[in-house]
Amino acid sequence: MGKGQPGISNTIRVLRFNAGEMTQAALAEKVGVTRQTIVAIEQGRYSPSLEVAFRIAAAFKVPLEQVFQWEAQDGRAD
Amino acid sequence: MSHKEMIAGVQLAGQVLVAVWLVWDLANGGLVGATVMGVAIKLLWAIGAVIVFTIIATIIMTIVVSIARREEFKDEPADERDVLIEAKSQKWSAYATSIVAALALFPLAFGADPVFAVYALFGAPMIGGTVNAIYQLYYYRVS
Repeated sequence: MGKGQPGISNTIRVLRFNAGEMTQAALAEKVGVTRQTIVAIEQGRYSPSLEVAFRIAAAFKVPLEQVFQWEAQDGRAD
Repeated sequence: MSHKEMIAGVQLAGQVLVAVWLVWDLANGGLVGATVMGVAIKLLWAIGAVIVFTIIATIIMTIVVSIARREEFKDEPADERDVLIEAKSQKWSAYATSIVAALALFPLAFGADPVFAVYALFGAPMIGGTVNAIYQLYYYRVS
């Protein structure tokens, strides 16, 4: 949980489109957060907790790594 | 704009109004012949006015935004992002309140009128509340 981190990206917008143009409000309700939080995650401004990340993946019935991607930027942990 | 951002905005507006009134009062002889009890009563009225302003402004803003959006504008249960933003804002608020309260002791230590202590007692949490509202609005925009 924390501020959106550089190097972390997500495909929520694409997954929502593939899920029949699921609205942000509908996804928020499935995940159990506010619509504003989904907006912040989708725009990369906020990195969710691991639990919420798994809930988002479960909402789309895809693995976590299909929703969130991380790329090392400073040479650490790669 | 979420309901929580609106509440923060309303609180900020209330605190700005009180600050303007306080400056106006001091500029118009608010300290002339002031007693500790008199100033305390005056500031208690100010706190009451802020509470009433916040309630009325929240109701009016909720109605106005509901009409503009054509759907009920209501507060949602706080999620992890709301809790995080609240915690971060309150951290800065606590710093501000503590620093202002500590600084307020200096004039008293150097023999300032005890009336000053009443203003400090009022001002420290008001500044803390202002900082809290500003940081909430800021964090809701950037995180």
